[in-house]
Amino acid sequence: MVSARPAATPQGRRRRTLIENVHAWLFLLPAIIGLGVFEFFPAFFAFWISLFRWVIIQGPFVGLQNYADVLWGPRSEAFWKSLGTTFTYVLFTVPIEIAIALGIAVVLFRPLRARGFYRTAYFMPYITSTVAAAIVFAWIFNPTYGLMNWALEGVGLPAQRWLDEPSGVIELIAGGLGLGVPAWAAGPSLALIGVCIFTVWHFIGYQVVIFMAGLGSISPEYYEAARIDGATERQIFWKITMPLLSPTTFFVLIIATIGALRAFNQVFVMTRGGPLDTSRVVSLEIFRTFFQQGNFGIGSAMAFILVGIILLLTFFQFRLVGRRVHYE
Amino acid sequence: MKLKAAILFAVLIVASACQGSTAPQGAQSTEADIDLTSPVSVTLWHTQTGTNAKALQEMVDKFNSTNGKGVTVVMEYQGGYTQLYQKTLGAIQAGALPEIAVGYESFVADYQKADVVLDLDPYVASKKNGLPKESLDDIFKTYLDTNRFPQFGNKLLSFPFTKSLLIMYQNEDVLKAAGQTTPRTWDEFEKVARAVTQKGADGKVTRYGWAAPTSASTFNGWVLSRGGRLMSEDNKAVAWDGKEGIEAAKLFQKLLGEGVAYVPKGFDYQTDFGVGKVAFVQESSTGRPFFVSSFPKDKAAPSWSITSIPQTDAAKAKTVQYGANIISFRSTPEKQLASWMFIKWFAEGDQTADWAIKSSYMPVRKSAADNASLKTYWAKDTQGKSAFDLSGTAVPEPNVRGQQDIRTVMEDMLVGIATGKLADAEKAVKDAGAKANAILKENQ
Repeated sequence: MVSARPAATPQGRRRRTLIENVHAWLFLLPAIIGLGVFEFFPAFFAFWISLFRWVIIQGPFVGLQNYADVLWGPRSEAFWKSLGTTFTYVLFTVPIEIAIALGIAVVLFRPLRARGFYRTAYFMPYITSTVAAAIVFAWIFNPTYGLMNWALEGVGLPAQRWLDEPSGVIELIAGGLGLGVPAWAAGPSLALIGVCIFTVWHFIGYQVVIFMAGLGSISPEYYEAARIDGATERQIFWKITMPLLSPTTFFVLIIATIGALRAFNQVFVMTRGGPLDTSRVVSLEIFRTFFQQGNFGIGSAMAFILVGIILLLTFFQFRLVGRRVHYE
Repeated sequence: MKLKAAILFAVLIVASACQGSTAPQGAQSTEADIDLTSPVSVTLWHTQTGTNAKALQEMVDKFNSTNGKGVTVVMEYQGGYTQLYQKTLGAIQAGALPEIAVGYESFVADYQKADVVLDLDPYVASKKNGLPKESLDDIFKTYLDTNRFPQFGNKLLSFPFTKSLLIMYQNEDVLKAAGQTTPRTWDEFEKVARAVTQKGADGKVTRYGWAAPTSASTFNGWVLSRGGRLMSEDNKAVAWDGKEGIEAAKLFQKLLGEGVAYVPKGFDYQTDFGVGKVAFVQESSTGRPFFVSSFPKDKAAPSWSITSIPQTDAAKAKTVQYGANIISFRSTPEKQLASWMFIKWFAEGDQTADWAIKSSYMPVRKSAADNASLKTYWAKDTQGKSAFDLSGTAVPEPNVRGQQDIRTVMEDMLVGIATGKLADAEKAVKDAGAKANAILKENQ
């Protein structure tokens, strides 16, 4: 039973609004404190550090000098090299992840026996601890005892040094055929490719789930109409599924690219940036600057430059790829 | 009256000036000489695990119950050395340092940039709480030298704790089967390593002469054993990039290329050594129990021994010193003294012997050779005694700021040579030396 309320006076309305606001703020307070203490303050403090010469202890204020040192000063060689490695890593993981995840999602979306089992199986790597799984992969790639070399030798191919191999994959393949390639065409090191293989294996499960959700949001009527009109499965995939899945694909692309640009755990565990820095991505360079060299000022500047690059890249992705996204 | 006042004034000025000029020395000496009148608790950050952690805890418990001054040491495990170093850097920023921590020399050099490490010299010299001269002289000089930091006025900023040295493990069964004996020089080593190497019908190596790691410390040992230096006299440039370093790198490259040596992965060389797949391993003396535990269980253990790494001049034998030290951070005078009391106690004869028995680290005192418990222990661990007898040949690695980065440069150089990316060994050493010098310059 609802009792009739007397007409609120302006004063009463103000009071109620005030109480509602206080309640709202009180509900928000835990999140504000949490975000403030663990997100905003560290980020602000890291930016603060980046404005100082800060090697173990706080030194003089240097303004943007640390940024200049990283971008074109004494630290630039290591930074740009690691950025190049990072982009190589992105190129050898993100498109492959998306292609495989999309393929698996399309197959799993169809009526299939034991579909639930397959969905779980593909999602399992993603919920496995990155560090633990990376340690297992390091064993798989072990040159002496690893499964990879056992498999290679089983099919008559030579064993590889995998995560210890600084030579480029193209250089290795060409070498195997008795050909030589110039240094610029050597390709990413086998060690980096090893990390890429792990990354693809680890993250496709998450993307499969996202793609399946995207596939579920496409109205079956489109498929029905296309089939009545005599469209082939290939045509249906390219003309209906792909365009209507493009918002999902775009989302996965953005998330995967940002994740790959910030990759740390798997690289740290599997190669620590080696051999010969061939897998030293930017996050590992930042880590080395911070915790091996104790240079917090430069390390923070590198971190903010990486944030800037991620923002810029995401912006361009929205501008360039975002235009090709079709919304139903 | 005016004259008396003037004289008094002048005396006061001179006295105060003198007091001012000697204040730091006097203040530190006073702090080292205080008495503890109430219970003090200090925290020790360490990295020991398994049986070593248990042994350390037993020793700490013993100290806590017997020191008679109310000092309590609380052990806190901080992960590996790298993690401990990272946490300490954070603790410096937060002003939340423990009183005591273990660490390598390069760590100490970084910490002291923040001026947080306690200078132990006044404590060693303290008449009330210090070490008598004969006790100090009993500690191997090399283990003390490594704790003096030229970049910080040659102060004693840490004290020996878990010491070991680079030695050579040799599989006697393999040598005997090949009719070879212990190589004393690098030339002999090259010949013997080649002689014991075996290849199967398919051309694959079935037994290597040498498991050669890409470790900066081992490379330093190769340089020292050839009569080379690691740093210039003034500590402003590296010296391992001279002819001794080049010779070492060339031999490493040559034996790898011939299939006489291989670069081990992880600790697989211990298993290989136990089953006779490799004749020589140059490793830390602390590795003894790990070698033994990896020997095959289904057949008799191999006959093995410990010897000096090959030398250019056996009469001037040198190797590299391994191991961590113990550091006290500046805190209150009471906590500093309590920390020093533990550090001093841990390095005393009985404790260093006890620790050596339980942990397989080297005792830091010469007199350990006469310790009854150690003698009994060494009767079983004859290889441990062989390693101890080489303690005097161990030379500390550089303890300058930037050394941690330099180690990476050296290891990259060795990886480059091992993988064939750096085909010219001499150039590789020279280039690495140039990079290392740039790091040193940046850290001056």
